[in-house]
Amino acid sequence: MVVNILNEGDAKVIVIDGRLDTVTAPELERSIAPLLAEKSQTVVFECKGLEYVSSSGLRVVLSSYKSVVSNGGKFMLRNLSKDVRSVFDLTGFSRILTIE
Amino acid sequence: MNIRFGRYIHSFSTKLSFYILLVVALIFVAGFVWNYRSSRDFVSNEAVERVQASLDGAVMKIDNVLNSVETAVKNMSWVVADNIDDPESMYRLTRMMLVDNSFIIGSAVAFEPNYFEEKGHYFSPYSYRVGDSIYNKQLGREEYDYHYDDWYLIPKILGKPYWSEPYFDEGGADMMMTTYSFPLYDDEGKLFAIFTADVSLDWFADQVNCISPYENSYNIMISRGGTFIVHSDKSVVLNETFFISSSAIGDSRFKEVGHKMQAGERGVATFERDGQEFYFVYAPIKTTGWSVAVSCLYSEVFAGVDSMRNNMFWIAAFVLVIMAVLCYVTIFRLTAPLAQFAQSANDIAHGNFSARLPRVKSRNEMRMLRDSFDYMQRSLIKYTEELKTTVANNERIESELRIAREIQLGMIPKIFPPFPERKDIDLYAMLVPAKEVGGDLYDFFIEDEKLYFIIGDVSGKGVPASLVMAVTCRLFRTVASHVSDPAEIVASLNNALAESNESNMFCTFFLGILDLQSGKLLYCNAGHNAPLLVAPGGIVTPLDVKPNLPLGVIGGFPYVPQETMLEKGTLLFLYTDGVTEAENPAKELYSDARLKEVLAAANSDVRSLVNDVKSSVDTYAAGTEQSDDITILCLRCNAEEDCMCEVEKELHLVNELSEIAKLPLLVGELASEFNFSEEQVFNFNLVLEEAVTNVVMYAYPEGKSGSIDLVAKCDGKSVMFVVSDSGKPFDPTLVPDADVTLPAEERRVGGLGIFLIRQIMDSVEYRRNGGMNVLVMSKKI
Repeated sequence: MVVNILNEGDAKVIVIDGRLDTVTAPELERSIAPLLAEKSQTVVFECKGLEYVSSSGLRVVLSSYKSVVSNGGKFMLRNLSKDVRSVFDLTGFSRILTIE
Repeated sequence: MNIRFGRYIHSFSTKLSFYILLVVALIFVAGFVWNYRSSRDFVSNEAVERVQASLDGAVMKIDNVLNSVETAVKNMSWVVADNIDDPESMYRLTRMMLVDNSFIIGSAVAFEPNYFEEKGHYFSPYSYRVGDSIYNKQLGREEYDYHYDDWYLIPKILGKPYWSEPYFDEGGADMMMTTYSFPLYDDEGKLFAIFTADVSLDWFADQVNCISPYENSYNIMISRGGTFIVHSDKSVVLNETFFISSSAIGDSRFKEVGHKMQAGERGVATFERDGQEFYFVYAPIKTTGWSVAVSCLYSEVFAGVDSMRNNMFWIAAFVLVIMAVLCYVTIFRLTAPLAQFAQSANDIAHGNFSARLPRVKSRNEMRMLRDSFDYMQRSLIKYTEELKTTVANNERIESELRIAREIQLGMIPKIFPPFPERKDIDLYAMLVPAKEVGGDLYDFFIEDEKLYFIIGDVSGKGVPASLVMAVTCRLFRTVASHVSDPAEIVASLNNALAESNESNMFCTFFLGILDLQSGKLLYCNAGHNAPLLVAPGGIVTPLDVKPNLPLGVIGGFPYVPQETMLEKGTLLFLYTDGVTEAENPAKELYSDARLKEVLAAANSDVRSLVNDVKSSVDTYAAGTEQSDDITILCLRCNAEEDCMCEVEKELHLVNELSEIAKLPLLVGELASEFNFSEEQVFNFNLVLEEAVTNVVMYAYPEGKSGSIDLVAKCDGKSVMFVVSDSGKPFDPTLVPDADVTLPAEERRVGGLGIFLIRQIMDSVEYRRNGGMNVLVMSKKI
C-alpha cells in the first residue's frame, strides 16, 4: 500500500493505492494521524487505486471520519472500485459516509 | 368473583310468604263470599217472613173490624124491619148502632122516595159521632138527593150489600171514610131502604202504619180501584191511583203487581227506585177487596249483614297482616343460615377451607347441612394435604425424568453436520420422544472409512424402554468396534439382550455399514421397518430387507446379512413407526403413502428433508398428543467422481499478522483452477483475512507463537475453508454482529470481521475438536 497526501484547494486528499488490510491499515492510521487533528478541514480519501479493503481498513476509515467530523470538518471518499464499494455496502458504511 | 347473596335470601322469604298469604287470602275470600251469600239469603227470607207476618196481622185486624161492622148491620136490619111502622124509632136504632159499635162513626137508614107518605120524598134518619157525643139528623133534603149517591144506588142495583170506595164526607162527619150499605127488602121482596154504617179510614191508616219492620219502610193501602187509601204523602190519598204513581217509576212489573193486588193476591216483589232496591210485600183485605203493601229498602234489610261483612273484612285484613309478618319473620329466620352457608361456600371456593360456618342449634335439616359442610371442609383440607404430597412427589419424578432425558439424548450424536470436513457423506438425524424419555434410538460413527449407523425402536415407552435403549446403544458401540460383519454385530446384540430379558422387552433394529469410498452398503435388519431409498428424481422405493426377528426375542437367532450399492445422490431414509403411525385428531394414521409423497417432493438436502417430514407429521397431527417416539435418520453417500476432482490446498501459518500476505496466494491457486471471478477472489481473500486475523489477535497470549492451519477445498460447486489453531478455546461465531444500522458516531470498531464472513459465506461453523479450534466456512459457487 502506498499513501500520498495532496492539497487540493482547502481539501486534504489522501490517495491510497494497493491493499488496505490488517497489515497495512495501521500504516495508514499512522501516516494520517497528524493531519486528522486539524480543525475544520475537508478530508478526501481518493480510492481510485484501492484494490482491497478488509474490516481493519474499514476501522481506520471509520475512526478518521469520526475525528474529522468531531473537529468540525468534512469527510468523503471517492472513486471506489466495485468490489471495495460492495464491502462498504455490506457493512452499511456507504450509508453513513459521503461517497462520491 | 364474589357472588352477591343478599337478594337471593330476600326473594326466598318474600316469595314463600307471598304464596302462603295468597293461599290463605283465597281461602278467606271464598269463605267470606259463601258466608255472605248464605247470610244474605237467610236474612232476606227472614225479613220477608217477618214483614208478611206483621202485614197479615194488620190485615186480619182490619178484616175483623169490617166483619164486625157487617155483622152489626145485618143484625140491626131485622130490628129495622120489625119497627118499620114507626119511622121515628129509626133514629133510636141508628144511635144504637153507634153506641154498640165504636168503629162505626155514622149510621143511616135511607128510605126509598115517599116510602112514608107523611115524611115526604127524602127520609133518611142518620146518627153520627162527634167526639164522644152522638147526634141525629135527617140527611135527605132538596139539595141533597141521596138516592143517586153511590152508597145508595150501587147496592140497590146490585141487590146485595156493598162497601163503598173511600171518600171524604163533607156533609156529615167531615172525615175520610167508607160506607157499608145493606139493602132492606119487605116481605114481598121489594127494596124499601138502604141501611148504612160509616167507618173512619183514619183507624185503618193507623193500623196500616203500625206495620213498621224497618225505620225507613213505608206502607200503602189501595182500594179496589187502585186509589191510595194510605200513603206516606197525604196529598195523594184519595187523589191518585197506584197506577199513576207506578207509571212514574216506569217499571212495567210494578203495574203488574198493582193488578195482582187488585185481584186480591198476595206476594213479594223486588224493585229498584232512585238507585235503591227494595222489597215490596203485599196482602189483600178480603172484606173490602183492598190491598195493603209494605216496601222495605235492601240497605235496611241487609244492614246487619253488610256491617257483619265489613267487620269480617277488617278482621281478615288484620289477620292477613299479622300472618304476613309472622310468615316472613319465621321463614327469614329459618333460611337465614342459608345465606351464611352460601358465603362460606364462596369462601371455600376461594381456597379458605376453614371458613366459618353459621351456628345451627336446632337438630333439623339445616343442622344436617352444617354437618355436611363441616365434613366437606375437613375432607378438603385432608385431600389438599395429600394432593400437595402427591404433587411434590410427581415434581421430583418429573425432574428426575427430565434429567434422564438429558442423559439419554446425550448418548446419541446431535451435532449436524457430523462430519463437516467430509464431502462424501451427508447425514442428518432427529429423535423426538413421546414422553420424557423414549425407547427410540439412532447412532452412527465412521471407522476405517466406513459409516456405521443404526436405528431402533424398543417396545414400549418411558423409563423401561429408555433403559433398554441405553443398553442397546452402548452394546452397539462396544461390539461394532471389534466386529465388522453386520449380522455378527446384530447377533451379538440379540444374544446380550435376550440373555437377561426378564421383562420380555424387545427392540426392532436396523444396522447399516456404508463403505464411503465405494458406496457399498452392508446391512442387517432385526424386525425394523424397511428404510426407504429416495433416488434423485424423487423416486421412493423401500430397501429390500429380510425381516428377521427383533433383538431380545430369542437368543441365538440366525440373522441374515444383506448388501447393496448405494447409488450416487440417492438418499437412504430410516425411520421408526412413530412417523407413519402419528395420529391426527380423528385417530387416523399418517401412513406410509403420505410419507412417500413427502419424500418424493422433498428437498435433496438431508437436513431440510428431515425437517420437511417432521413438519408434515406435525401439521397432520394438528396438535394431537404424540403417542410414540419419532426418530428419523437420513443419509446420502456422495459420488466418488466428485471426490476425485476435488482440489484441496493447505497452508500453514504462524500467528503473525504479516502472514496475511500469504492468503491471496492460496486463493489465487484455487481461482486459477476453478476460474473464480474477481469478486469471488476479493471476497474469499476478505473472508480468510478476517478469520486469520481473529486467530492472530485472540487465540494465543501476547508474545506466544502458535500455528494456524488452513485448508481450502473446492469441487467446482462449492468452496470450503477450514481454519484450525491450537489456541485457547474461542468461538468467533458467538461474537455479536456489528450493528450496521447505527449512525457512524455510535459505531463500535469491532465485530465487523465475523459479520463480513457471515455475509459472504453460506455457512460458518465452529467446533472444538481435540484441543483445536476448528472454524469451517463454506459457500456454494
